[in-house]
Amino acid sequence: MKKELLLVMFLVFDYEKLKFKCGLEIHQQLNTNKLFCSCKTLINNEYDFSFERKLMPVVGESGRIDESALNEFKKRKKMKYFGNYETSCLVDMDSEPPHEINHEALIIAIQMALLLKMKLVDEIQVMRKTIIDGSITTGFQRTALIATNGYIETSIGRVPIESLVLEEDSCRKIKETEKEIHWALDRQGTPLIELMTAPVLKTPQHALETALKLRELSRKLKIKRGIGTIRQDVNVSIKNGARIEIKGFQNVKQMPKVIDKEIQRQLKEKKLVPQVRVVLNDNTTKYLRPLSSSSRMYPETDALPIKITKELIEEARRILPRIIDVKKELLKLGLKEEIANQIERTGQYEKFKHLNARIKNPKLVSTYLLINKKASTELLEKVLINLQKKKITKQNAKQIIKQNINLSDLKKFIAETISEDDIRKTINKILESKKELLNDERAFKMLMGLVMKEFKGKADGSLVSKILKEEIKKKLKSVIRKF
Amino acid sequence: MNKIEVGDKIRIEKKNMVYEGILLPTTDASSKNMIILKLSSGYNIGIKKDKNTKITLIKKSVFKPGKIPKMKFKKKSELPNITIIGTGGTIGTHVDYKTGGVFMCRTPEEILAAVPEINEIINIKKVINLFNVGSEDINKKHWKKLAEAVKKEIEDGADGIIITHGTDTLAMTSAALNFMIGVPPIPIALVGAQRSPDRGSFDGRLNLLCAAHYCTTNIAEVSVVMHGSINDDYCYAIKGTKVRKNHSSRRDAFQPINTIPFLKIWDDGRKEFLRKDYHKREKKRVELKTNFAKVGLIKVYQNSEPRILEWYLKNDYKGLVIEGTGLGHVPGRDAGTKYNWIPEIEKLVKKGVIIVICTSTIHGRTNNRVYRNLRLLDRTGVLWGKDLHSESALIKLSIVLGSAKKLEEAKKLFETNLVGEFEERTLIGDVLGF
Repeated sequence: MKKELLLVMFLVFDYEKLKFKCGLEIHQQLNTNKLFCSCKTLINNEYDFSFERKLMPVVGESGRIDESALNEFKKRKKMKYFGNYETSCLVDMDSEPPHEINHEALIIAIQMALLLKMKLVDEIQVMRKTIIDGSITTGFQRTALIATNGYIETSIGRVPIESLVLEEDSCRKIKETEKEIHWALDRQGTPLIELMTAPVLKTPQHALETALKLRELSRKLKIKRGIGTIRQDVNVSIKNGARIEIKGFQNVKQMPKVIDKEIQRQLKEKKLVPQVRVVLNDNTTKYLRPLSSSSRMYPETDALPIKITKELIEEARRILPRIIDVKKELLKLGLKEEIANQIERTGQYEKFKHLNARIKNPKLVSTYLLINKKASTELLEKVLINLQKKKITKQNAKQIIKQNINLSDLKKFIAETISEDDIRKTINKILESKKELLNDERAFKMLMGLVMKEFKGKADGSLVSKILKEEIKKKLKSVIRKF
Repeated sequence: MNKIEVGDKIRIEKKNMVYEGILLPTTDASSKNMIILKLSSGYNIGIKKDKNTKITLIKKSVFKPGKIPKMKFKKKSELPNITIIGTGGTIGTHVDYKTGGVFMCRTPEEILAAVPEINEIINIKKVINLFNVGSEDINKKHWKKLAEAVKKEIEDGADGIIITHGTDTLAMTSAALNFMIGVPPIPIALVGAQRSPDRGSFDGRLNLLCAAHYCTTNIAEVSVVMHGSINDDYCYAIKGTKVRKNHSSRRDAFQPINTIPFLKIWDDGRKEFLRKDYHKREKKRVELKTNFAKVGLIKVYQNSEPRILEWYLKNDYKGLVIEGTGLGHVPGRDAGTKYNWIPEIEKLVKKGVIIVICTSTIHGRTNNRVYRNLRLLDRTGVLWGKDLHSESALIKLSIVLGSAKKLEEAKKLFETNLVGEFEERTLIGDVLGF
């Protein structure tokens, strides 16, 4: 008992013993127009129009409203929607039936299914998932199952991908007061791919690795990048526990910590109820709502079924970017396995490729690339070029990348670095004035000290040492010749 | 071995894949040999059946698709007794497992199940499921049946009547009902929905609640009660002969044409009376006019040929409404002999066809004298629709021709203000997007 408590305190768990069960649900926005109309999918905070709506509770295909839902409905806040002409039309306003499904989005979903070696359904049936919190004007999310039964390779084996769903995103909440909720329409209708792994992830670290792998794979397709374009939810339970869905990770890296804290909570809690929880700033979670059930699904009668034809699959394949084995490519360039892994894991292969095309020194590029993931490609490129020309010291180069300085500030470091010619001139000047030292056996060490003091750290040590050696040799030769 | 039927839980094995789920009906919209399966996640998918597909039964009758509950009414004697008549339309739709679209199937009790609060406003006297069709399929037979049902309910003491109807031709039925029964002794509301009742954004909810509130007033008129804005905030009660569906999909599609609505109504019962000249409740007998003569509606446009009129004459049309341009023009002499409508119209008038000139602008009033062509057209003996829009004029013409014994009587009846369909004054507030 004591040992267990200690383990809880330090968040060190035997996941196998705990019967840790964990799966991922990843939502990735696609970089296309909206799924059921031709509006752009941009975040735009300037609004051309607004309107108000009241949604009523309807439950699945039964159409029944129970008393408590009705009471809840009567107390509801006023839903106010804000839109602009660029990103929202009558379809978003629930005032025109949906148009045909966005072909480009459908192709990207099929491509994702192909990458994950999934089995495509023969005919897509668009469904409505009832959502009446106001986040979608229709009161439901249009969603369609595209493929099942795929997998992704991870360091501890294959993780099955159970389903791939193509669906529309909801509104952005922009304000909530006691009486009103304000929603921005711009995001509503943006195509999303939802990937669901089997609940087989072994550890929280494994969950993170799988999330990163899936993100890396999806980045090969036409998806949106940046804040809010991907949402990674985690389903987690332990022995005698209940299924808990965790939403709202600000950063995917939080995942292991949050999962561990959730395990800690589940161990402490006496009675666990399946629920959805949201991540807080301190990596703990807060109750959000009960889990939703399959009874929320209803056929979308405004859409036709879509047959996945050979032509569609061929089109997806034709424009599927060549997916290469990153690690294999890096090893071919002579990099160590550990370095190759690191580049792949941090998702910097594209950056590496770009830099190496200019610098043509894989080892040098990888060393500096891995210092700081956030350093821009432009900065890395400039630093590496100057480093090769010896216009910048290694020490400074590392510092610059670590601090990810502005490109404009880079000049300062370059200007302050003394060129090879100047180094040679200064060394010769010192050698002239300290001729007597040449006879000493400690000449090099002493001279090196004097020279470096003169440069005040603005010259590259290895370069100085090289030039100094050369110049001493020259001087000694000329002395010998004189005799 | 049990036969596999819709609603059974089954297993499909195909090319190393196993799917388990509930068998749903395959709709006409699906491709050939497609099996529609509801998975445990709630998603439906289509799996194509081929020679190597193996289907086995897991469990019988797990699911019965498309069951809609009915509203149970509470008798509240203190509230006005309102009769609900269902005729079909989006307001009563449900998923159609045959075509995959929606179809009109809900009875009024099933519609009201989506709006149980209505029972706090009115006492539901009676629910009549008169017919259940899309409004594009409604014709004079349905109109007659509706007018008879309305008359019977009025005589049976109803304090008001709510009629649910498809929106496409709702404004035509409201005009027809108004002309058939005349000025009614009680409030009569026609309502519909642009979004089906199986979704959270069902707009019929507000329309039904506001129609119920309308029926508690003293406004004894046939009115269309539909959304007044793109918000779900209030409805207008607009005179049945002076209203039109002016948008194919917006919830505020119904606009007053050359009139001011009687009432602005919020779902919480707040009311703003926009005019005072409505007919008040009174005890009176309802006389029905349910004979409809054959009439047609024609639109003139640039390059339109008047020869089409011969067809109407040959096919025994008794009256025609022509949508002229602007104030009511038809192409005249300057358009060229082939395109000159005026002599052709004159021919028909002389043969005893009543021709009514309305305007294709929808809003605004016709005029018979500002331009020379208008005067030339007027001399042919046409009637003018004035501030009545063409669809209402068409229905009025059909009824007056159907009920009058003589041509001159029909003409006189058309020019008479029967139920308040003609308004002497057109006001600024009633033009476009009121």
